[in-house]
Amino acid sequence: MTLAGAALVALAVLLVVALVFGGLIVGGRAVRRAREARRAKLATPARRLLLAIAAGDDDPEQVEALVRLSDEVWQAVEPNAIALLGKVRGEAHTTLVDVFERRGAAWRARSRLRRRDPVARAQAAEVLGNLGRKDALLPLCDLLGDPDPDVRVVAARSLGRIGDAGATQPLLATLASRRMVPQQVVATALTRLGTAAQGALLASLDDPRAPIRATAAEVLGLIGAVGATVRVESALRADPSLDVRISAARTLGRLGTRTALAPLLDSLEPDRPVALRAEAAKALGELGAVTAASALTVLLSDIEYVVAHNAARSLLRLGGAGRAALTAAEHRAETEPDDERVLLGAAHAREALAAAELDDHRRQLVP
Amino acid sequence: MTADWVRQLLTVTDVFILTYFLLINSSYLVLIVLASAEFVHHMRRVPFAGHEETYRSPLTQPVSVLVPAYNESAGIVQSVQAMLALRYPVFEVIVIDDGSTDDTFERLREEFGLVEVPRVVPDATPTRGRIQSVHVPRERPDPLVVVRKQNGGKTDAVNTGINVAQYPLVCMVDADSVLDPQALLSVAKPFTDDPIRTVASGGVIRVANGCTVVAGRIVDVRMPRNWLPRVQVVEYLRAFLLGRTGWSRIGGLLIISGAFGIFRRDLLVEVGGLDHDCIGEDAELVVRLHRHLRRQRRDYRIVFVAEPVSWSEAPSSLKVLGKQRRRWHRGITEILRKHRSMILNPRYGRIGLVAMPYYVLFELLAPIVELAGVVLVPLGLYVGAIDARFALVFVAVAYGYALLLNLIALTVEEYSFHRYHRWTDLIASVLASVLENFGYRQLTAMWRTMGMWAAIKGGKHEWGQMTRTGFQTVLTPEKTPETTAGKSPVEKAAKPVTAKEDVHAES
Repeated sequence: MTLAGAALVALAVLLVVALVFGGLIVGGRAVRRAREARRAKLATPARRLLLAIAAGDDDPEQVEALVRLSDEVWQAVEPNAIALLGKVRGEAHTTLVDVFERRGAAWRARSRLRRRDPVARAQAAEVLGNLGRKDALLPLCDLLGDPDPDVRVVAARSLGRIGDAGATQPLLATLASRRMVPQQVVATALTRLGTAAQGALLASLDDPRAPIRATAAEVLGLIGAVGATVRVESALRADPSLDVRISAARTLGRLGTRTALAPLLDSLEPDRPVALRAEAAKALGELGAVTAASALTVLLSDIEYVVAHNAARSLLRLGGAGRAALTAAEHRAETEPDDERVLLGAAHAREALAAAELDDHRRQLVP
Repeated sequence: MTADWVRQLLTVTDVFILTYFLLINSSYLVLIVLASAEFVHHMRRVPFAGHEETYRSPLTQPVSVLVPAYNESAGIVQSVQAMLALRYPVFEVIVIDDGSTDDTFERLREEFGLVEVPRVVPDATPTRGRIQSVHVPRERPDPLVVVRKQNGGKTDAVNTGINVAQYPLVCMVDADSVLDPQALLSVAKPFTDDPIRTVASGGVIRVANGCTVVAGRIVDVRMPRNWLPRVQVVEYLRAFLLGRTGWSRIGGLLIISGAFGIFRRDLLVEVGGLDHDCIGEDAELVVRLHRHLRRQRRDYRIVFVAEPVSWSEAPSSLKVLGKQRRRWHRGITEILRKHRSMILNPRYGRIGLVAMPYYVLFELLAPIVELAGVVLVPLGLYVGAIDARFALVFVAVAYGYALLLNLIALTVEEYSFHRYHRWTDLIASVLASVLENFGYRQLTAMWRTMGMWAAIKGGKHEWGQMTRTGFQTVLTPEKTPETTAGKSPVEKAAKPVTAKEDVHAES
């Protein structure tokens, strides 16, 4: 082909492609607008019914009207219904679930769990979780090993929403799996299982895999499993994984049992990793044990910022004794102005005391 | 008569320029295709993105939002109010007033009832401008911290913010940016989805000119009224939204805008924060993170998410635009020079072998080739080195192809986020796509070349003397006779005062 031919072809191709894309933009916009307008029109009356149910109105006629909506109308309003399902609680949630069930949503979702399209599988898992279908426990546990990471995450979240303690082990197992689910997602789901999961979580503290032990330790604190204190204490003392020990320290703070004082104080020793010392200092504040005041006061002049900072904030939480220790540390700067460690401790103390005064001031403003 | 060798040289050069344009435009096309695939992937997963779960989870990582501000009096209050209203479980907003000479701080103090508080600030990253005081709201429980410091530039302000930050994630935001309410949840999502590997995540910047802003929120998106920002809307769409999404898709993202990006704080501290001596400090940080993590053979991800939007005002005058583009290209030049050992170095994987060579060829050198095309093709035509048919092919490849890319980008936007919903906006976008290729491109090429020249010349940046002491800075409101008489710390700090100089304690 000659250059002239090439030029003509190039220009012609450009023109055609430009026209095609121009048409796509205009056509796409026109179709989208028309569809949106039609959906809005279809959904308006049904949305009113949904909002009434969400507001606690369980009038059987309204429920029946939703159940009998044509598929076209239901499709238009379904995104709103799903959004409401995730937000409402109590009676309204039960009524809404009933509407979904009677429209065959659970059956449809179950049939889509094995679709080739990962988005279809994830949507199905989401629906089953929203409906709280306990009979979906096993298929959802299977999805925890799905090749698609998004499907695994949705399955884990849904298991949390269903709230059956039988999901504890499968959820924990995903943390060490080749097809893993992020720790935060698993821990949040486990937290929603509540105290029923406590036994399995306790047993998981002996698991050889560190991520499982760390998450189990974390969740035990979040669900307030006071009975697990002794076992968590031993994890703090002796677990070979730093992550597990940090989670254990945090959990002991959350549980607030006095027996945790000794292992937490032991974790403050200078030869312990900084992250552990910082977490232990924080946990001692949550524990509220006045006897920790002297150890925390020493930490005020720690060279690690986060350790000293947490110690100062924890002293505040110990009440009068802690504040007295902070005030004393602040005043030490006046008697030993050349000692930089004393100055640093005094600075942390001053910062914490000022924050406390502000909090007190704000509390006084609340009627 | 023009010598034959000159004609031959011009012929060869013009063929080279034509080939270059063909390649660069094709590379944009590839990036757009990659971005489109990513958008499809993203849009299909929005219904089960789990933002609500993230919002409610007690385990969601808290974020420190860093807002460097210099003479932002006009919009700072509205901006901070909008940031405090962001939807995220636990976060703090740290405004770093970098020695403003206007009443930026006073406006904040009045609005939020700020009071000075003592504070120990770890010297985690290097800073130059000394912190003068730290302030928090006296009565409102807003998670707001305002740091006043000596002027040291944006980099210094951000590094100061990193030092002050209490949370494991830090989000850098421009003081004049307007964030979508869900922006923080969305941009932090990669840290929830892949907490071990994700180290940084960038959000998209769009042009705020022409949009209606109410109480720090964009309530009506529309095209700007002036043509200059209109062209930038199309440019941002193609280059930033689609280009960066494309690079992110293949794990080669080199730029996260300092106007909206979120990073792991511990890693920022590990790499020494932002570089004071580089103008493109945000992009340099990302390249340095790649370098650091690749050297340590760590498995990591630096990603770009297209959904959360930070709206920024684009330059509406040629003068400001020229300054911006010179600065940007000077930044790119400095970054590529500083990290030249990474280029074509297999040790840095696709960053060294693909992304950086691409930036050298199609970002760094693009303005030179662009200007060469403007001059040498007409010259070649004039001296008979090329004929009219060649010139026609050149126009088709260099400008027609580019125009087509803009149309494709607009199509992708229309089928994905479709933020501009008026028909008039659409017509303006198409016209801006045409205009970009005639005048705008050539002007920006000239400014970019000037920026590159400035970097080659190596004019020193005036940033002042850096101090890296390894100390923690202890900020204490000045002592007055009243404070020794037993006044409370809050009362002591009621009037903003400058911290005592050189009060350091060893870290």
